[in-house]
Amino acid sequence: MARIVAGRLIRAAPLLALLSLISFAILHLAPGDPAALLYGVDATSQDLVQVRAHWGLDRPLPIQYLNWLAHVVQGDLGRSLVDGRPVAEIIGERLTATLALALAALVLAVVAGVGLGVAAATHAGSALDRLLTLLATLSYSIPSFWLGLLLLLLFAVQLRWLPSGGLTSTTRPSSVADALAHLILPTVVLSLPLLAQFLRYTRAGFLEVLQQEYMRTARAKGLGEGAVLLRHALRNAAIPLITLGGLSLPQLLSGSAVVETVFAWPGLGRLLVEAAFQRNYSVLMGDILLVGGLVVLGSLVADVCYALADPRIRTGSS
Amino acid sequence: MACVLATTLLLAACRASPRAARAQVVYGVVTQPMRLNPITQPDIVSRWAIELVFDGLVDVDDHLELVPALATSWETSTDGLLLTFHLRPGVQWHDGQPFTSADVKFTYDTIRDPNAQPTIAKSDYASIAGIDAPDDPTVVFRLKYPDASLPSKLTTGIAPRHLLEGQDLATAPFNRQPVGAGPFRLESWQPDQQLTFVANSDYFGGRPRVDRIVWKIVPDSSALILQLISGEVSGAAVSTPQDLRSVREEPTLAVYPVFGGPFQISFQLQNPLFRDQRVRQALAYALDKQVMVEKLMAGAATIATSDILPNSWAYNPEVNTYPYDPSQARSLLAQAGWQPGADGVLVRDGQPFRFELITDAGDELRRQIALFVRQQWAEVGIQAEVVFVERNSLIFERVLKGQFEAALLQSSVRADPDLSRRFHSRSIEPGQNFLHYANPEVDDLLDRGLAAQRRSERQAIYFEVQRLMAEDLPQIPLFYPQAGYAFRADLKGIRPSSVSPFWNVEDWGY
Repeated sequence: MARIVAGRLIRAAPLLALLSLISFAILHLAPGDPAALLYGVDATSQDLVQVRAHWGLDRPLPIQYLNWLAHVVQGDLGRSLVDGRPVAEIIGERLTATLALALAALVLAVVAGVGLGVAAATHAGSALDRLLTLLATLSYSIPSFWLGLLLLLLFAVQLRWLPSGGLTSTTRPSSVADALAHLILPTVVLSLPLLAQFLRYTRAGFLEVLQQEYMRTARAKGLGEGAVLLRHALRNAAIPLITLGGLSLPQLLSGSAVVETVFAWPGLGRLLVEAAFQRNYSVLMGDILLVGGLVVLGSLVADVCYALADPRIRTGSS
Repeated sequence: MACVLATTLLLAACRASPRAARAQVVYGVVTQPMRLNPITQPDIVSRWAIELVFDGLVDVDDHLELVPALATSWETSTDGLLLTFHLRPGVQWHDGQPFTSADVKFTYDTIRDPNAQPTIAKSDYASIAGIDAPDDPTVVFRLKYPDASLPSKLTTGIAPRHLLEGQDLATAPFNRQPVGAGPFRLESWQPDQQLTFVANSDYFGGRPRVDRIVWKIVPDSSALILQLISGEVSGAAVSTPQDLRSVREEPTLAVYPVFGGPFQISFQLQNPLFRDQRVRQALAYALDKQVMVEKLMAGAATIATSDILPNSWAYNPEVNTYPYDPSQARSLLAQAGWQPGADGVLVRDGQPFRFELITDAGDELRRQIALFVRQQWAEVGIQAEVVFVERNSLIFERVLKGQFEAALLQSSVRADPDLSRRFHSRSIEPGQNFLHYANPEVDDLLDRGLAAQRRSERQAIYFEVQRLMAEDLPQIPLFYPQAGYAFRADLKGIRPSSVSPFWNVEDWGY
C-alpha cells in the first residue's frame, strides 16, 4: 500500500514538470501582451518595453521558463503581474472557498446519488425508477449557468428564502447559519450533474450485484435486507463509484468558473478565467500547477480507496 | 379593526427597517478593482473605487462641467502658459497628515516621470513642462503650449507623498491599503467578494450622508440584475437595453440614464479602399442608424454626430448624420469608380470591394450591430467579413497597432471636447490616432481649440471641427447608447455623469 502511494508520488513530479512546460509554451505563444493590459490604451511603446523588462518578459522563453521553474522548486510561485502580490497568497485566498464548495457538492452527490440509486435499483421498473431516470437525465443535461439563474430567480428573488450570491451577506454580521445559507444554491447546482452520474452508476451496479449468487447466499444466511444491501451489495457495487469520485475530484477542486461566476463565489475557477483575460502569466501558471497537483492527488485517493474496497488490489494478488 | 391593526403593524415594520441597512449602500460590480492607487489606476472599476477614497484637484459633474474639489479655484495666465490652482486649506489625509501642494506636485511628477511605471496615461499630461509648489496652498503648472483641456484631466486623485515617495508603484502595499483625502476610507478588501468603505468623518465637504459603501463583486451580469431586483444590491450600472427595461419595471428601483461613448466604425485610412471621402460617405448613407436605435437598442440610444456627447457644451447638433439613403450611397460609389461586378459585389480596377470588419468577441450587442452593418453594406454591393476578436487582443494587438481595415468600436468618454488624442495628425505615432487621420484644417482647429481660453471661442471652434469631420468622416458615428445606473428609489442625491456615477458620492443619502 505504502509502495503504491510512494511510487505514484514520485512519478507525479516529472508529470507536473511536463504539464507546466506545455502550459507555459501555450500561454506565451497565444496572442496578448500583459504589459499592454497593465498600462491601458494610452501606453507608448517605450512604456511597454519598460514594463516587459521589469517583469522579465523580454527574455527568451526558455530562460523565462527555467527561471520560473527554479523559483517554483524553491516554493516560490512568483508575483501577480497585476498587483505584485505573491501568487501563493492570491491562490490561497480562493482555495478555501473552492474547497468548501467542492466538499459540499461531493458529499451531496455521493449521499443523495447513492441513496437514490439504491432506491431506483431495488424498485427497478417502477414509476419511482422511471421518474429518477428522467430527473437524472435532466440534471445531467441542463447547462449550469441557466439552472443557476433559474434557481436564483425562484429562491432569491421570488421567494426570498436564500441569498443570491457571495460567501456571506454584506449587511448582517457573518455567522455560520449565514454562510451555510449562501452555500446551498451553488452546492446544488455544482453537484447535480455529478449526483445524476452517481445515481445512474449506483443503479446499474446494484442491478448487476443483486442478481449474483452470493446475494442469495447472504439472504439464505438469514441476514436482514438492510444488512444485505449495505454490507454485501454496496461494497461490491462501489468500485465504479470510486472511479467516478476520483475522476470528479480534480474537476470539483479546480473550481467551476460557471457556478462561481453565477453565484459570485470567490474561488479558483473565476481566478483562472480572470487571470487568462489579464494575461497574468504567473497567476495562471500557479493555478495550473495546483490543479495538476490536485488531479494527481485525486486519482491517488481513488486508487487508495480501490485498495480499501477490494482486498485483491490491497494485497497485490490477482 | 383587525385590518387597520395589520396595516399599522405593517407600516411600523417598514419604518423600523434596521438603521445599519439604511445607512449603507451596496454597489454591485462585475469585476474587482486591480489597484487602489490613483497614480497607477488602469481600469474603469479601479478608477471609480479610487474616487471614493481620493479626491482630485477638480471634479467633472453630470453636465461635464468642472467643479472644485481639492482646489477651490484656478486661473490661467494671459499667455495660457501658467495654470495656477488654489488649494483648499485644512484638508487632512486619512492618517491625519496635512494635505499640501507638495502632494499635488508629487502626484503629477510621478505620473509624468518616464522611469516610473506603471502609471496612468502620461500622454494626457504631455503639455506640462513643470510643476511648482511655491507655498502650501498653491500649485502652478507651467505649460509647453496652451492647453485648455488640461484642467479637465486633473480629476486624477491626488496621492499622499509621505506614503508613496520612493516606493515601487507596481508592488506597493499601498495599492491595497490606500490612504486618501476623499469622502470614504477603505476598511477591508475581501478578494473577489467585497470592498468595504466607511465614511470619513473629517471630510472637507462634511461627513458623507451614508455610513458605509460596500462594493459587492457579482461577476455575472444577469445575477447582478437579479440582486438589484431582490434588493441585495442597492445600485449598479445597467448597460444593455434588455436589462434597462427589466429594472425600469421595478417600482423599488430608480433608473438614471447617461449617454455612453458613441459606437462608431473606424477606418484604417491608409487602406486604398477608404481613402476617398465619397466612399466613406457612401458607407455612411448605406447604414440605417434609425433602425439600429429602434431595433437593436430598443430606443435607448441617440444617433451620434461625433465623439462629443450631446450633453457637452461643445456639442454641435447641426451636422450631417447621413440619413439612410442606399441610392445616394450607390451613386457616390459609382462616382468613385466602383461598378457592380458579376456576383453583385462592387469592383474597381479588377479589385472587389471586400474587407474585414473586426469587433469585440464577448459582446452580444456589438455582434448584432456588426452583423446588421454587414447586411446593409451587402445591399449596396460592399462585402464586409465580420471577424470577432477577443477584447484585449482587439484593442492592443489590432486597433492600437493599426492592424485592421475597419473596426466597430465604442469611443471613450472625455469631459473636454478636445479631439487631438484621436484625430490630430501628431497623435499618429506615438498616440491613439490609429485611423491615421491627417487633415491640416482639423489639425489647425484642434490646436486653436486648445489655445483659446474663452468658452464661447472654444465652442465656435469645436462646432467647426464637428462640421468638418462629419463631412470628412474618418469614422462613421452610429449612436450614443443610453447606459444607465439603477439605484434603490429611496436613495437620494444620485447624479451620475457619463464619466462616473461617484463624483458626488458624499451627497448620497436616504
